[in-house]
Amino acid sequence: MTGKDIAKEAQIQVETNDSTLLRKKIEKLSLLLIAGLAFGLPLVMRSPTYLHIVILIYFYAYLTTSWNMVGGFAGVLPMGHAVFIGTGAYTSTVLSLQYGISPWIGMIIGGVIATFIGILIGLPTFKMRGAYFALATIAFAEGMRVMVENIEYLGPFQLNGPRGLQIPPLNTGLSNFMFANKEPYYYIILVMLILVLGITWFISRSKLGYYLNAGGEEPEAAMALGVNVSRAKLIAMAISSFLTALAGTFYAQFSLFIHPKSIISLDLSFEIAFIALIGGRGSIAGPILGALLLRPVSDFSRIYFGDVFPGLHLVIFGVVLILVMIYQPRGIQEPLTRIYEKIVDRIVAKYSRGVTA
Amino acid sequence: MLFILEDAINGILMGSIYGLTAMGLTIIFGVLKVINFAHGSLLMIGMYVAYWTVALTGIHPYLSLFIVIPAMYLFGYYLQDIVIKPIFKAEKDVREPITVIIVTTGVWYILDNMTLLFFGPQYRSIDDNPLKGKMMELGEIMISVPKLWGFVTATITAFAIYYFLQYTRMGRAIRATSLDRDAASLSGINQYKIYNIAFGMGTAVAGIAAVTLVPFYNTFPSVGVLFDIKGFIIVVLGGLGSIHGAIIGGMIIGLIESVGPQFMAATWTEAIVYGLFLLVLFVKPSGLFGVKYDW
Amino acid sequence: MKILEVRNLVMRFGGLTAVDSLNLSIEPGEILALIGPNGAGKSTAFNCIAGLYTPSEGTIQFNGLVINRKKPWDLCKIGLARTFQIVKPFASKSVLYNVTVGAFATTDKIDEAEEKALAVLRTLHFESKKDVRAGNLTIADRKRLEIARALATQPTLLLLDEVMAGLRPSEVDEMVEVIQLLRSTGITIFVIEHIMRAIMALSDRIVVIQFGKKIAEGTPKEIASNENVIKAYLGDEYDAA
Repeated sequence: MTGKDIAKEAQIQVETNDSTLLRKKIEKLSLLLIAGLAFGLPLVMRSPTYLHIVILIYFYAYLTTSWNMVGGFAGVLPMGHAVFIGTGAYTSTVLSLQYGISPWIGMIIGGVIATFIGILIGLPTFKMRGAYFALATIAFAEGMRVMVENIEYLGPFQLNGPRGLQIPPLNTGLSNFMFANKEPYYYIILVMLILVLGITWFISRSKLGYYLNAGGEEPEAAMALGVNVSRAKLIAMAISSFLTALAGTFYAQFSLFIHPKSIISLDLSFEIAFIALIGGRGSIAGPILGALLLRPVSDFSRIYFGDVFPGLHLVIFGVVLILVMIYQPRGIQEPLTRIYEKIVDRIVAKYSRGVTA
Repeated sequence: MLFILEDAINGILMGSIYGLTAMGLTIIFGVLKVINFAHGSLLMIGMYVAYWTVALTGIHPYLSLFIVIPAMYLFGYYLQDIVIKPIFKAEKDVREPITVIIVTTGVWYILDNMTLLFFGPQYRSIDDNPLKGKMMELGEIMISVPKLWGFVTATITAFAIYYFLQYTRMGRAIRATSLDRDAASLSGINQYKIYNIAFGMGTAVAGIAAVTLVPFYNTFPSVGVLFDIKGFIIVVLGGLGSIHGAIIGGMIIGLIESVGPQFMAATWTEAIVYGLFLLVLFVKPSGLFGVKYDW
Repeated sequence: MKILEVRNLVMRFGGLTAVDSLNLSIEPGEILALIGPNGAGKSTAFNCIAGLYTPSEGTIQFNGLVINRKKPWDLCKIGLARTFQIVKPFASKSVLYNVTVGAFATTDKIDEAEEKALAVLRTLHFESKKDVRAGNLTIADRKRLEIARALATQPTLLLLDEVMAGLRPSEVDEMVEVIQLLRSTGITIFVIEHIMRAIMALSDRIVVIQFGKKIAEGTPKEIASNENVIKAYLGDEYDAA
């Protein structure tokens, strides 16, 4: 290599370093912008109805992100995540109604119980074809719903069967996880969502993330490279179950009423899976994009067509799902990421031209 | 004691109908390696086809088989060809076709809710059919006639499918594809056509199960869900991909459901079914009839 | 001490005996080749050693340790790595990602793992393709990736299952160079291969099996003139001719 070549190479190196730096800056800026918008939204949006819808968008984005750790990264298909939502909701509600324990503590206890259930399902099934796991999750979720619907008392705990549990809105306040207006709920679920996204990002950049992806894509090859595939999946399942149960407590405190049909239903389990696949399985942005796109569809179709056609939003989900899977098997995050990158490219190009000129 | 025997027999008969539902599921899984979550919905569609055929013409319910079987076969064939095949192709080099599994869930939702929209939520039953409510006396034991018909139908169907897969040219092509789809397509078998046929067969079997149910069971848009979940438990119990495993697994479930309430609350019977399911998963995950799960 | 010692290895599938009382051993630093006609049981023997199958009978020792019932991932951690005859890249991920998965066998930190992966890619002159999606690689590059991943786990014994099958002659030569390079770094190598030219050039010793049984063992030269081997490859008609 001549001196000139080296100089040229160095020049290119500097330029690429510059543009990657710029790229990182743009990325940071847009993340900050989004965060700022999210935190400022309640100041602008005063309508409780709309705020309610946005809270549910975050709630579903949170659930789907938790689901994604197993369904996305580990490459298996959980079809019964409502079990964990139900576990979280019922645990904290029973503990606070009957024993006066703060829902915040009940939330953690629910999470721990859910973790055990997740491991119980995963332990036998992760060694087998993915179909077994999908079947086991769905059967477990339905089994749980049937049980809760038929049980008035589980030992000392009052579950009220199909009637569910009502939380009287008496003592509002942070320690009781109960508020008179929507804003506190908004900020709680927003923080929860940011945390779960952070955890996902951290995992995807860790050994566990690499092992999950490898085991999900080619289990045999992964095993030969030192990956205990079923153990990695089990860890992911434990984390996912725990996080999902936390959302159950949130939902119970937010709606102040839970019953088996609303919270352990297949509809809920499937909606999470649909959002994940349409948004983009295994990506960080996918669940958020999916929830942003699909939740309003579901809310508005319930508001406007709920009486005539109660299942309309699920039909729409089904159709959208099939179309997206045919034309964009990696979900809508892929074309959207491409568009975002094109915009960044243009900005970078403009900026560096401005510098050299 | 006699009660229990009576319940046991009727439970086994009902269980064979569960098994018939599970059989369609197992055929589709065996070939496509995909759990068809829409299977209960296909059963539901079959029940509506059978119901309307009988309700409009007044023929014997079992004569509707001549309409239900071809109609359901074609429905399944084209459902796979138009909706599922493109997704298989988009995910060609993926080992586990997860997106296909979830798309069948989408199909489930579309079918159930469209049926709800068109036919409404009401329960429909054919009250003046020759099988309805009929009982047969066997000594002091009363046996439900429509369930007995279902049992006979399930047995015949199982043998017919077994014969078809073992001894016909098409059956062998289907088995070859289920064993190794790449090798099969190298030897000139059109993999996707076989998928269509297998899906058609599975759907037709769901149709047969539907016909056995219509004489004594209500038809309504979400009827499939009940049989769906049972079907999943049965196929795991009997071994995914095993035809006789599906029938026997079905009978076991039927037996537990019918005899259980003699000893405990019905809820706990249900709990036992799910418990048994978990137990099999832990102890013998390939199912009671040991089909190796990776065939 | 031998790095690998296989004694009386038997592997049955139902009524079929795929490997029948196989004995073989490898010295540290050696290149040993296992050859035989199609269906002779080579891959089965490999899969037993690599922990994919549990042998029906016999013992397999790695550095004096019996490894019969060890799982593939445990073997990998103690220094036994393998490649697959049908390559299995993590197709949706980049080359670097693929190799980093292997490098995690020896570290928990991502920066270290990536560093190690890059070092392996550099050794194999593969660095320029680090950002290419593995699914878009050519066959030759996929085979190279397969080796790179295994290498990243820092094995002392490397099992190579037909890494040259399907390659063009010039690519075969490159692969032979790669394997010799690996040996020069002190890795012991055990290969299954069909391409005779490569085997003769590479191996220190060759073991020949047929119908699961060993029929010959020796240096490439000895094997080339061994009558049993010639018969096995050309069939019995050779005798009559």
